[in-house]
Amino acid sequence: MERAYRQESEGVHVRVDPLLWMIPLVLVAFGIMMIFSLTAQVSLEELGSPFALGLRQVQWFCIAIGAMVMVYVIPISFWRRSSGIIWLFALLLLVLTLIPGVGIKAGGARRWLGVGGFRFQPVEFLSLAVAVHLAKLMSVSPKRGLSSFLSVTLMILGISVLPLIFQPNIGGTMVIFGLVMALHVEARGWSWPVFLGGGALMASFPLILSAGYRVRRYMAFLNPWEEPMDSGFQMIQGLVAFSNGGILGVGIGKGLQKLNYLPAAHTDYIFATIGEEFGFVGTISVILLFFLWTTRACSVYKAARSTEDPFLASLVWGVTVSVLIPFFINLGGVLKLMPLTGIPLPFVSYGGSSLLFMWAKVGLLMRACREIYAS
Amino acid sequence: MFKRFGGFHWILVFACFGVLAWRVASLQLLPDPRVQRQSQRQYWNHVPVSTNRGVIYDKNGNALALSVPASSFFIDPAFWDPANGQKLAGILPQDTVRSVSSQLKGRFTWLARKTDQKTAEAIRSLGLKGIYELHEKKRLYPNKSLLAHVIGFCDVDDKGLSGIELVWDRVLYSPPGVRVLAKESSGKTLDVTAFSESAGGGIGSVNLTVDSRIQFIVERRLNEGIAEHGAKWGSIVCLDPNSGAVLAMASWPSFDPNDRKELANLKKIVNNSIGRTYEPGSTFKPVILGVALERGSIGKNEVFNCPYRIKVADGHVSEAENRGYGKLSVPEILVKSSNTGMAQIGLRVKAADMYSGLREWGFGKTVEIELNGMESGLLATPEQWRGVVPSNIAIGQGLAVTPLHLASAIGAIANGGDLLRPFIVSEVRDGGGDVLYAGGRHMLREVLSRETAQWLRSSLRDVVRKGTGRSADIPGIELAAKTGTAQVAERGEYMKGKWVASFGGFWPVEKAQYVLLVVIGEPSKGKYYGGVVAAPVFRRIVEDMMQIGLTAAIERVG
Repeated sequence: MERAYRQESEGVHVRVDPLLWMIPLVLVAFGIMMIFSLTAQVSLEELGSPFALGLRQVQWFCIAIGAMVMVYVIPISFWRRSSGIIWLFALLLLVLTLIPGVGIKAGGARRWLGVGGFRFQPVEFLSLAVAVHLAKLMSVSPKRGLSSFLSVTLMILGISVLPLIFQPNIGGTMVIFGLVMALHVEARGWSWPVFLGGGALMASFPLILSAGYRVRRYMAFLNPWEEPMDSGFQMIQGLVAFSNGGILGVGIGKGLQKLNYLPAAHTDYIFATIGEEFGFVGTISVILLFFLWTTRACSVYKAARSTEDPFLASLVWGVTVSVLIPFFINLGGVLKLMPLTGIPLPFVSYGGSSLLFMWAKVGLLMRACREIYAS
Repeated sequence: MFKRFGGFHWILVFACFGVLAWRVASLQLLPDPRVQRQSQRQYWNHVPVSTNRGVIYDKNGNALALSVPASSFFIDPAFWDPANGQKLAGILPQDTVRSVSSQLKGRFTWLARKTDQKTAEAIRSLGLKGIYELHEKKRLYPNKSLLAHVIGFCDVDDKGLSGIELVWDRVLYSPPGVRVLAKESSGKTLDVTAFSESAGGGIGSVNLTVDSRIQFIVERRLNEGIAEHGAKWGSIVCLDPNSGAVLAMASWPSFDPNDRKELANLKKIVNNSIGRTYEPGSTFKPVILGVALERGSIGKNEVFNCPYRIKVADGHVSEAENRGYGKLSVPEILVKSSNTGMAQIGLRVKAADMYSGLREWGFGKTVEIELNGMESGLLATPEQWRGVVPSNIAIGQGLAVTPLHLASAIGAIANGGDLLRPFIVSEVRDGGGDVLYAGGRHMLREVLSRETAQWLRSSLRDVVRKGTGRSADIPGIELAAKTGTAQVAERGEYMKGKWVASFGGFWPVEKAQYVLLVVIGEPSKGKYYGGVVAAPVFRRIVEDMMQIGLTAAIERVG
C-alpha cells in the first residue's frame, strides 16, 4: 500500500487514501438514518415536525463537510506555525462557557456557547487544538525525560483541563487527559506517563466524587442492579438494548428501548440503539469500520514516520487518537466497561460540535496524508 | 518487534478494539439472565379492556345507553415510586391516593378507570413514571337519570348489574378485548401494538317500548309532586292498555347511573314500580267490584246503606270523610269511594271466590316483565282471612301490590277485560341483526266480561266527572280513574299519619290509549288524599302529553 502511494506521489497527481473519508461518511449516513428513526416522535412533540432533529444533524453535516474541505486546503505548515495561537483561542472559547450569560447551562453543567441558533461545545475544538499544539511542542522541544513530561506534557494538560473541571465536564477531561498522554507516549516513551498516570488516575477519584450526580453514575456502573429503577436504570437499559438485539437485531424502527427507556437513545446511547435494532451484526460492523479507519490512519502514520519530520507523525497519531478516545470512552460506558461520562459516539451520535470537529480532523488527516506522500 | 504495526502504542489501540468486540459479542450473544428478565417484563402488558357494549334504544330509536371512548390509567409497580402518590391528591379520591402511596405488588394496578376528560388531562400532565394510560370504552347514559331504574347500570368492567343491563347482559355484553401494550418508560404515551377485538363478532341491541317523551314528562311531574308534598317515595307507570307495552316507568328517589358513587345507595336504585309493595287502598276498589260482579255476588244497580261506620266481626270499617253517605247504588259507592259500602260488597263474596278472583287478576304473584327485582306483592290465603280482613281487602287494605300490578289490572278494565302481561322490551337483536326476542301483546286471562268492563269504565269516568277524582278532570279528555288513600301498615299496625296517595286511570274512556298510575308514598306536608296529592300530578302529565300532541282533546259538540 505504502509503496503504491509513494509511486503515485512521484507522479503529478497525489491520491489521498479514500477510506479516510469514506468510512466516516458511511458512519455519518448510518447515524443520520438512526437519528431520523429515533427522534421522529420527540421531534414531533417538541419541535412540531418529525424530521426536525434529523434535519438539524444534516445541516451540521453540511457545515462539517465545509470544515473538512477548508482544513484540507490549508497546508500543514500553517498548523505548525500557528498551533499555539489556535490552542489559546480554544482555551479562550472554553473559558467563555464559564461566564454566566455567555455560556449556556444545561443539565448542571456549562459546556455550550450559542452561535446564531446553533449550540457549540468548545471542548471538541480543544481536543483538535491540543493534538496539534502538543505534537508541535514535542517536535520542537529539546527536553527529554521527566523535565519534558513535567514542563511540556503536564503543563499543557493542566492548563487545558482547568476550565473543563469548572464546567464540570468529566468526559471532556478524560478525553484531553488520554490525548495528552497518548501524544507523550508516542514522542517520549512510556515510563513517566505510566508512573505518573497511575497516580493521576488515583487523584481523579476525589474529583469524580465531588459531583453528586457523577457519584451516582459511578456507583451504578459498579452494580446497576442495586437500584435498577433509579441510578442503575440507564446502565441496565443499555444492556437490555444489546440483549434485545441478539445477532440480527429487531429491525430498524422496531426497537423498544427508545420508548424513553434509553434516556439518550440518539446521542450518548446511540450505539446501544444500534445494538437493539441491528444486533451484533450492526454493532460489530460499526466497530470494524472504526478499526478499518484506524488501520488506514496507522498507514499514514507509518508513512509519516519514514519522513524525517517528527511533527507529522505526532500530528497524525494525535489526530487519530483524538477521534478514537471519545469512541472508546463512549463504547466503554455503554458496554459497562467503565463509568458513563456523556461523550458522543464520533460521526454517529446526534450533536453538531462533535460532528464538525471530527470532520475537521478527517480533513487534517487527509492533508497530512497528501503532504507525506507528496514529499 | 512492534515496528510492523507502527509501534506499541498502536498495538494498544488495536487491543482496545479487541476488548470492545469481545464485550459486544458477549452482551449481545450471551446476555446476563437478569438483563433478559428485565427485557421480558418491562414493555408488555396484556390488559383486558372494555369494548363496545350494546346500545339500549327507546321506542323511537333514541339511544338511552351506549358506549363511548374513555381513558383509564394503570400503574406498573415496577416503575412506580410510591412517593409520587401524593401528587395525585386532589385529582383522584383520597383512598386511591393512599393505596398507591404504599408499596404496590405485581406488575399491574388500576389507578383510575374510565375517567372524565378533566381528570385524564390532569393525570397526564403530571407525567409520572410508572403510570400508563389506555383507551377503553365507557358506558354512557346520555339522559342521566332518565329511566335509570329500568335501564339499570353496569360494573366498571361493563358487566350488567341491574335493570335491562343485567337482564339482557348476554346480548349487550361483549367480552373485554385484550390489549397488548408496549409501554414507554415515562408512561407519557403508550403504543398500542395490538388490539384483539372480542371474538364472536358484534354485539346486540335492545329496543324498549318506553317513549322517552312520556318518560321525561312523567319523571318531571313525579319529582315535582314528591317535592311539593315532601313524600318519601313515588312511582308512576304508564301502559298501553291494548298491548300491555310499558310506555313510561318512573321511580323516586332516582339516581344518575353515570355517577358510580350513587350506585351504592340501595334506596335510590330500587325500582319502586316493580320492586316496592304497598297497600293500594281505594284504587283497588274497581278490581273488587269486578270480581264481585263477575261472580254474581252483587247486582249492578243494587243499593247499599252506607253509614259512617260499620262493625265487622272483631273490628270496624269507617269512611275516610267524617260522615255517612246513606243509601248508595253500586256505581255511587265507587264514585264516592265509600268504604262501608265496599266492605259490605266484599263480605258478599265468599272468601275462596274473592281469593281466586284476585289471583286471576294477577295479585299475590310476580308480574312477569323483562326486568329484575320484581316483588310478588302479598295476598294471604283465605284461611287467614279472619274477622275484618275480607272487608279490609275490599277497600284495598290488608294486601300489598306493586304499582305495575295495579296498572295492569287497570289496563284490563280499560281494554275490555283482558289481563295482559306487561312488557317493556320490544325487540332484542344479536350482533348479526337477527331478532332474538320480540315483546308483544300476551294475554294472560279474560278477567272481565265486555259488559262488566264497560260498566266499570263508565263508573270510573263518573269518579272523575263528579266523584273523588274531580281535580284531574280535563275538559275534552274523557278520563276514567280512581283515587286511593291508603294507610301504611308497619308490623301489623296501621301507622298514624303515614299514607300512600294514588291515582290510577286511563283515557279516553272508550278505546283507551293510555293507562297511568301515580303513586306518592308517605307525603309529609299535611295533604295526603289521593285526589289532592296524586290526581294533580296525573292531570299535569296528561296536560303535558296534550301539549306535545301525544293525546288530543275531543271536541264536544253542544
